[in-house]
Amino acid sequence: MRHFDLAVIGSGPAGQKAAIQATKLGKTVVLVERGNVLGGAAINTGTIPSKALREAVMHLTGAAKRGLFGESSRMKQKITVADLIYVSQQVIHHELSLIRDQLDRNGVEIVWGAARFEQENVLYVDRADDFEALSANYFVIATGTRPATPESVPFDDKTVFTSDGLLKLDHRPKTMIIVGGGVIGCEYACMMATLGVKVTLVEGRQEVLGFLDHEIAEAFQYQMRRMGITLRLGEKVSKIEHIAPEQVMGNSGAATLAPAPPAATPTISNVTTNGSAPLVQATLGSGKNLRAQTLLYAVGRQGTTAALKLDRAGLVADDRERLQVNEHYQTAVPHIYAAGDVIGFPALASTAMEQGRLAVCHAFGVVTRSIPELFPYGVYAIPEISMVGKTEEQLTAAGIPYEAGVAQYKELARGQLLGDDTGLLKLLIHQETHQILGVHAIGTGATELIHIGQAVMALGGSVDYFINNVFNFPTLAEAYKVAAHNGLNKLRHV
Amino acid sequence: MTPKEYDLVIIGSGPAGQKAALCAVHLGKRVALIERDGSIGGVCIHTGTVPSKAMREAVLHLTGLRERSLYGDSYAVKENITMADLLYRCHHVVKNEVDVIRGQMTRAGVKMVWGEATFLDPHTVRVTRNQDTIDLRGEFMLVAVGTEPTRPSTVPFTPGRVIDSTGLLELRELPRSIIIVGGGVIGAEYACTLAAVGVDVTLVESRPRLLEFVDDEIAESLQFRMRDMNVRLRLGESVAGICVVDRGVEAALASNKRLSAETLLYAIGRQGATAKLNLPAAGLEADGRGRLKVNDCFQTDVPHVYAAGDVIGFPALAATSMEQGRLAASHMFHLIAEPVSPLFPFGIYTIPEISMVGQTEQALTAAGVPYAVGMARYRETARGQLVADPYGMLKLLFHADSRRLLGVHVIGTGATELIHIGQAVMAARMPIDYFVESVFNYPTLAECYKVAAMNGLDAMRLPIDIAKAA
Repeated sequence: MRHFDLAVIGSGPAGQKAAIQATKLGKTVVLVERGNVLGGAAINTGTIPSKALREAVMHLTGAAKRGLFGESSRMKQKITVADLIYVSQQVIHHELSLIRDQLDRNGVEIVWGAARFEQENVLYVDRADDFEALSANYFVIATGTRPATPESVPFDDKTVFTSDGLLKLDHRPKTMIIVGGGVIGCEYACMMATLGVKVTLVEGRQEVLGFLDHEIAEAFQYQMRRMGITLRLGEKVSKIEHIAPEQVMGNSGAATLAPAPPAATPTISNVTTNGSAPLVQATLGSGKNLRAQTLLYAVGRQGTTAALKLDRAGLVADDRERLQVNEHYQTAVPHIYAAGDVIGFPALASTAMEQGRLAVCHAFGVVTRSIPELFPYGVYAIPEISMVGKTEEQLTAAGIPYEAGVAQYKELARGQLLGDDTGLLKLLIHQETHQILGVHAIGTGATELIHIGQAVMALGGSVDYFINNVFNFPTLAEAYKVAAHNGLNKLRHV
Repeated sequence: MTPKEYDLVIIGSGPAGQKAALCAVHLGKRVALIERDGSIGGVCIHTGTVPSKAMREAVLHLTGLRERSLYGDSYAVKENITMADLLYRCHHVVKNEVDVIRGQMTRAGVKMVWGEATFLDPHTVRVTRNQDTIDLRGEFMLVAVGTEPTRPSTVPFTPGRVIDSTGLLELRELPRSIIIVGGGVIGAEYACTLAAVGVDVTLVESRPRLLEFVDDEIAESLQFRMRDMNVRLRLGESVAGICVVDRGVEAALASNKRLSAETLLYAIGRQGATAKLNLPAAGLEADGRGRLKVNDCFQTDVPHVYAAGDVIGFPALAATSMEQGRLAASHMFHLIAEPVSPLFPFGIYTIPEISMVGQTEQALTAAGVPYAVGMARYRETARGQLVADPYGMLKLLFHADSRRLLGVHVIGTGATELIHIGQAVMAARMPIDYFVESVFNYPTLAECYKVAAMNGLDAMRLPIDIAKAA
């Protein structure tokens, strides 16, 4: 039985960074991956494919540029599914080789197979024709999550699917119901709508993306509606079922989402749908019936720990198969750590990497000064949304006196050049200390821009930083300066 | 004629003039802002920064250049791109900016006065518009007239043939070939923009390198990329003579080479636009290039006359001009304002774009500062793949002992935006450990900071500590 200082289960962002950190500390590391590719959900079914798809959609439809350069400049008129897949495959392929390189360079041993605990220091790795036993002093469980698939939902991967299934679609449907207004639901809703799919988004709460600042979420909802997305907020789906097309024929009045006339937006060349395509019907708690060609179920993800035989290691997962950890990412069994989506909130690739690194630092007694609580949130919807720090609602609830400074992109020369006239950036400023308490941005480049505010917050800067420093012209970063002036002007009148 | 009285009379409505005007009216002062007809916003809006950036944006889009590494080299959005295509968006943006500025000034209560200004005495200017004149008297005066392209008498300027950067925007058609004289910011930016639409570009620069203030490695990287776009670089060569010929223009180099093209863009130097101001009446004198000298508070030799913006010379950026205007007005009316941070970023809108803040490698070497380098290639990040910019890179220079960040240099997509993250960390005088310890959105180009910091610390083989991860 081979012995290692550290065994990492799962090769997503958390697992990779954990493994590399340990090798850099001079430890022997084995990385166990169950699939046949590295990278986990971030690379293969989650973050990267969806972002690659978004980039392709944005570009191919000219969504970012429509009208800016005159009528002639609409991009390729026919978008094939192959176009979209080609782009995202290219990115995925490259990312995989990048990860492989990094792991190899650092001397991480990769073992393929499904890991399960035999004892609290021994893993069995099952393969098709054999298995291997490995022992280690420390473990990092970084197995991530998969989409929740409740039994009441009739998944068939063709008309009713999760986000994993959506990436395998071989045609562009005309209509889609999306259940769930979280990050995944919203990102795909925007992409599909941009492609000309008629989308209805159902969310149980009164607002999509519940963690966002209210003003930003409202701006986003306004823009989603402007793209032609129907929002059904505060509505629960009580039943999802397949229906035969003939049932619709005699009942066209109720078919709120019956196939629309050919969209004026770019057409997908290999649309296979026709009048007799099967439909899916979602019945809402309020009694409304929604019908569409497809339904994306995007409510919740759950941990993937069932196969790990956690009980053999003395561990118990929660009812969504997730693990609880302390501030050092230790589970209830001190030499077993967990990091990434499998430990729940915030379940971002970026925080997962940092968690993996910090877990290993703690295991091997390295002192860190990390400040991961000030992590940014990025939502790759159309438009992009990003935030760091507190929302207005959180500050109000906590009784912290603040003022908001707002900059509209249309006030910026760069905003004009890009044709983004709806973007905005908001600084939340402490009324007395002028400290920055939160930054919220929606619009082009929001996920990049946020890091400027994050740095100023992390380094203890106040709003004066933005007043006293020079920004490149013309850039979107100038929004910080405009927002700072706007906020200070309001404070002068307090 | 009794002059109208103001607390502050500003000549020039570019970035410096605007911000000074707004600052002064916020302090309750009466402000007059003088501008020639129709050109509110100055060079920045009309012939300089904004039009060149709008044109660049149009080129990047219409040529499909941004997406070629994904879709292949022949990918293009539009065939036969014309000058009208390139300026379509530009006109809209300019008009909008003019409206925005005019609205801002009117709302704030700044008195706009249209016409050509000349000093009558240190407190009075006469503004002439057609036959009408009006005299304005200011307690304080601010000269913010900016610059104009230098037009040496030896260069036979001819519309459409031998032009300066202002003339370029007036071209009816894109030339098939162009000689650009001068490898500074203007020359380099237009060389890239024009080469990207397929114009045959030859760039002549007398120094051995383009953009002398830029870090060597970054400038060389740009030169590589420009050559890759078929720009011919004639470095270390000077132009001995230019003559307009039958079907174009010829330039003779000092090395006896002859270059010919349809058009020649003369892009060497800009000079202060002070010739018509009658500065002696104010007791002032411009230097040999029409510029005014000021002290730290932006006062000229005549203490109640201030100057700000490009007319005072380096760094001559729209962004710094705004701050200068604001600080000049603050000083006049005793508003305490913190001096503008000496740490300003440079943004160069070449293709690819370049941005920097802080020191270059050559400056640190010359100063004997021991530094180390952390490098990130865009292609090492997922976002770099998504935006298909395999050549982009971000370089951190940090002190070898304290690890304090000393300079950031970026070439590639979004460089001018990205730089501000490094600027914030430099301003806080922090070590590069900040980047290692922070969480960045994934996937973003900003992750390059983390990759570069780790690369730099790895390369130094620092003792095992927090900074050691990939």
